[in-house]
Amino acid sequence: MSGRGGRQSSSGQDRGDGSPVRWQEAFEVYRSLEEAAGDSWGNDLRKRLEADEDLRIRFESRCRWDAKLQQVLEEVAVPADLEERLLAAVGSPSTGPGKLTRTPHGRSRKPTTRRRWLAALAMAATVLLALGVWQWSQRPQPSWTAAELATRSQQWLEQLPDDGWATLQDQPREFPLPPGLGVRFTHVQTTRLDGSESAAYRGRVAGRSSPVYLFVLRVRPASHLPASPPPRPRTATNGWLVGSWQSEALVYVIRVRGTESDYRRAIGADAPLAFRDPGTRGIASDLESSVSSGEGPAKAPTF
Amino acid sequence: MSVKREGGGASSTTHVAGSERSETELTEAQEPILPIEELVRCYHRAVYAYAYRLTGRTQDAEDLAQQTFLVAQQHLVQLRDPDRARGWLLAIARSQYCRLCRRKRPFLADDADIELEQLAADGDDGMRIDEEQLQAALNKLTPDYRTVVLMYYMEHLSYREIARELEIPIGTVMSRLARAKAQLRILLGKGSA
Repeated sequence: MSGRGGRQSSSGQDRGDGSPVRWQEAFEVYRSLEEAAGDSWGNDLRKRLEADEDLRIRFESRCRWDAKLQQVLEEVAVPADLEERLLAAVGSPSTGPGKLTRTPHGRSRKPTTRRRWLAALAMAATVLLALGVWQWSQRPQPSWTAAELATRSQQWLEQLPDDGWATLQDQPREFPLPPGLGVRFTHVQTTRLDGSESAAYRGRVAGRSSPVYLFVLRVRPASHLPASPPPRPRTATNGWLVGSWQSEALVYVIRVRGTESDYRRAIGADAPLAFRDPGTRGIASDLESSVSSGEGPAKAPTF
Repeated sequence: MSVKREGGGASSTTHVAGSERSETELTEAQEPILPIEELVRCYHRAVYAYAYRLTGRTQDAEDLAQQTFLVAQQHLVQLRDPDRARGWLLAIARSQYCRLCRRKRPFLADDADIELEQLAADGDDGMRIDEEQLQAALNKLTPDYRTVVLMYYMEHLSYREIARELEIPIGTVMSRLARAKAQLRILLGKGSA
């Protein structure tokens, strides 16, 4: 048997590019023994096949495999209307040989015409892209009630990756902290919450150990949300107190774990002056008026 | 490109000894022997199948088929033998595909090396060949390998003809073809395992 694994590596004949042709290569390229008899490499292979019964059987097997492969290769489902479309393409002046538009690699009789077409197409694509981006930016954003925000913020809290927190040095420009809060925020992470770009801040109530999370989302303003932190929190599970409000295009959801006193201090209602942002008015006066009336503040605070 | 080869056939039939070529003969030489519509009707399936095997994608195959017939329309007078129409069209399709491949990225086929020792060891003609697996395997071949394989199986060219068409040494064709076939067998074998 002549080396089933192909131990004989060369027939010793040069193949025109300086390297020898191996008999294994000749084994693959002839379709039949008759075809192999046509040249020196084929003759070399033919001699091997005649001398080695096992090799000859494998050659015939390979030929059958080739025939089967050829048959499968030609079995391709053709689109039903392809013929009509091709006939239209070769017959239509708009898609004639000089005005190819579908295939970018086509030869054109008028390169300048083709370039103009491409430029027009590129411009149209740019306009469409810009339109798409604009529409995307104008897409309806989710609008939640305070109760929904309280529930969702619990889910957001669970979704936040532990390794996503970064030490707070600079606030994300798109999601600034509202002034006037009585919280020492230490960490921040930007993330997507319910499909909206958002930021989460983490810290503690000023002067206390109560943990605080503040979510800032860019969502559609909702008329039912107050314009400043509500003085009375919603009680969520596990001792979390939640309040939500909106300012322009941003919605804030604050979660404080602790007592109502902690919550009030966190939103700045009870915060000592030392914890308020210098240069801002604070929201205590608005809160007082809303508490006394039992409603939210009449207008948004001017931060 | 086979257009040239076919064109060569055309010129040999129109060349009259010396320079005595009549106006009538010149006019006849410019007349296509088949209208493009006839070629579309007869060969759109073969061209599409070839284009699909080359590109591996329906949309690309449709584009390539259309491109093929549009180029054929431009060079229709070069087709002098109706019996060679199929091969002529497939050669145009292949030529357009190769041009696209060259624009996309150059690729050295020999970079994708496989062990020659595997070549003749797997002639399993009992292996079932699944059409989708086959296309997936073809897609994994480099464009150079895929091209020679399809020239061999679908254009029915010999290795010498492939070498002439691609203008590369015969030995290179033998090497590429052998390696590509071996790679196909391995991929199909894995797929069916």
